[in-house]
Amino acid sequence: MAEAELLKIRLEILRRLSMKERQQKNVKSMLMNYLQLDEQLQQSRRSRSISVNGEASSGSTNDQLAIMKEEMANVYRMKSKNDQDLIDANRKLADSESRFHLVQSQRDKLKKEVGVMTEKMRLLEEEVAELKDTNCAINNERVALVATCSFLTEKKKQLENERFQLMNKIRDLQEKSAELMNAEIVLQEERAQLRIREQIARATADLNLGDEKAVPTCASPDDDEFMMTDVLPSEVKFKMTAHEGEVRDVEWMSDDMFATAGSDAKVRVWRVSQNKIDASKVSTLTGCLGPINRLDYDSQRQVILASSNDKTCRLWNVESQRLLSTFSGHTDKVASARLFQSHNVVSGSADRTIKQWDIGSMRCLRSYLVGSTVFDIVTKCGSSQCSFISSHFDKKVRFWDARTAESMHSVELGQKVSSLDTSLDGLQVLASSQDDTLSLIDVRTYGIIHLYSAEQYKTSCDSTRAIFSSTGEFVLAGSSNSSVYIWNTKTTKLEKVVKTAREDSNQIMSLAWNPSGRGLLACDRQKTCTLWR
Amino acid sequence: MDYEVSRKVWESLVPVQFTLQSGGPLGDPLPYYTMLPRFTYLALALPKALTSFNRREDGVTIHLDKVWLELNGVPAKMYVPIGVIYDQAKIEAESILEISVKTTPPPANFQMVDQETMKAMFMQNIKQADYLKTEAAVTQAMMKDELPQLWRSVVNNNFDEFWAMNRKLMETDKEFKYVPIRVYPGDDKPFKQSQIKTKKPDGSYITVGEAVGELLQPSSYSTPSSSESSTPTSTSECTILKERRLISHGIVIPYHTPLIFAAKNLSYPDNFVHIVIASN
Repeated sequence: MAEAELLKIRLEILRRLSMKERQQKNVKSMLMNYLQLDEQLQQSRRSRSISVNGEASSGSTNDQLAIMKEEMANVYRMKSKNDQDLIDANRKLADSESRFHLVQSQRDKLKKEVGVMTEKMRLLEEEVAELKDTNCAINNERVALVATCSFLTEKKKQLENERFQLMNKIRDLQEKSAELMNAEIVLQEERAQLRIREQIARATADLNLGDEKAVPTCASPDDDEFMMTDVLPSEVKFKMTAHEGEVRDVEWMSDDMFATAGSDAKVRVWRVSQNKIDASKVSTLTGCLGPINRLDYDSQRQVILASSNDKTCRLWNVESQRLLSTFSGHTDKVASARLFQSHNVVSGSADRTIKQWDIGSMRCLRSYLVGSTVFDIVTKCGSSQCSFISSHFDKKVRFWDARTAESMHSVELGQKVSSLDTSLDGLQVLASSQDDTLSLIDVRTYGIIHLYSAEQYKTSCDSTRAIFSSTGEFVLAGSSNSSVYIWNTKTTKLEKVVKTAREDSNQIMSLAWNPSGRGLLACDRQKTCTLWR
Repeated sequence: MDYEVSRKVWESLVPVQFTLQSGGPLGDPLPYYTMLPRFTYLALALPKALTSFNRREDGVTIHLDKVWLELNGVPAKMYVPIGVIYDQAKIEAESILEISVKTTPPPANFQMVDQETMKAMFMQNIKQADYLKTEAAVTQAMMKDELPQLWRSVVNNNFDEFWAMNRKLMETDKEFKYVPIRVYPGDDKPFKQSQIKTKKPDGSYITVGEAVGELLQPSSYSTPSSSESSTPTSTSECTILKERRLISHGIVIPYHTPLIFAAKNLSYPDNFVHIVIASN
């Protein structure tokens, strides 16, 4: 019963609620439409008005829709345009940003460069300041130098004046020197004439004495001082040390005086004692700068000529020990030099030339181009005073006339010819060659007259010497085993072999036979000079 | 819950007109018309009306804290549901509720209520109702976010969301100890509320008429018609039935409707049954 009543009440309530809803339906729809119209008005932004006519509202809506569609089209167009503009703007922005970054980086680089340039400018300004200081200093120095220059110019003028005066003095002194030379020559000639007269007088006296004593001399062999023939040496009188090295040449100047030349660049003059047991040094002639190879002596003028490895020939006065002349012009060592004619010198050199010199002016008069090394030269040969003979490396002996540039004749031997010697009469020349033979050549016919050799005779150096005895009776040569071999000139028979006491192995480098006929000087490589009688 | 009744009650609407009376130099804008749910409040409706008024570009901007509402010459109560205000207006059917929006200084008996204040008052009402029903057992057991959820569903007019949570408050394990009911007598007097049980001592359900009669008993004695009754109980009931109509949600509620049914299906979202007494 209660349930049925509750249902009835519920249905009644629902009925009343529905009736209430229906009553409000008109007002509700009206107000809802009003709200829509209000919204449309707000959207279209028109003046508010209450529209009751639905059809008019619908027509207006259609027009509005058309207008709005058109506006939407325009808006879409503008939107796309704006989008494109936005894209373009974004791209431009990106470009601008990248360009900005680029410019910024460039600016940074330029700032760095500016910094570097500023630093460089500062350094350069410092350099400029330093250069200005240096310039001031140099200007000061220049002023000082200008003053010094003017001072030195004045001094130069003074010195030129002094030089002019000194040149005048030199000219005067040269004139005096020439006068002195002339006086010297005159004195030498007078001295020579006096010596000749003395020799003639002595010879006459000797002859007289010789004639008187000839028979007693034969009866008494001890007294042999006055014999006029060559005597073979039989014993050693003395041995002495002549030089500090090799004794390359020796030359008798008189019966009791001789000169030696050594590799120590000195020429020494010696005197043999009366009892012939030693020799004492008289003087030393210096001036050469290298070993001396050959000597030549002129007894009339008392001068000695030396050729040296220092490419020069020098001439000394023996008594005054003064160097008279120096002949220089060869380009290699001078092997030999000889006094020639009355005022000339002839020299042969390893530079393959022969030169002729004037003693007075010390000038080279002529050069003979041979083409082969010259070993020795001899003058005072032949029928004319203009002749000289030379020996060479190319095994030839050449005969020259000073008046022509070419040799007149040449004789070829077996080996290179190391030394030459002329006979007393000048008609024969003795040549020593490296094939261990001696050749005797006739100057007039250029023929070989004799050959001299021995079984043990050996030549071992280019300066081996062979000489005539004082009268030409014997020819002799030094050997490598410290022996001297003596042959008879005419018969070519080996007369004697002179040996040193110790049988040392020194090479005999030079030989000289005393003009008196008794006395042989032999010099070797070991500073030693030996006298045999 | 009776879904059909609850749904129809929820979807009831009332027409409202807001008229601005600011006396500006360019004149007042046109009134703002709208249909409002019965369960909402003027505190929630006023901002929308002001937004409409402020759309005019040449007018002075009206701010919420500078206006007050007037209804039939008296300040309007912004914290009372719109439906209750409409039922009290004594207006004829199909008429619009007219509310004046004034910019003059408000009178002393007007109280401006904003949305935050309204939210707090709403939740307080729910707790009070639950206290009457279950001594606040249900609201105390709720999560922290569930009461604000009820408020949000009221603001957003979301029926399903509201009842998903409100079901806890209506379908309790025990019967309601008291029924939350407020009776609004006429002539703009405050509502009456007291402890009304759901059942009589004899076990039968108390009806809405009986509850209202119990609430209005003192006024029954003051009326001249009360002296006419010979039997106190039956005479009083017959008198009320003859002379008055019980209006809720815009309809006349039958006198013999069980009170528990009304409490569960005809309540407003604040869980109170609001009944307006209207004379014939």
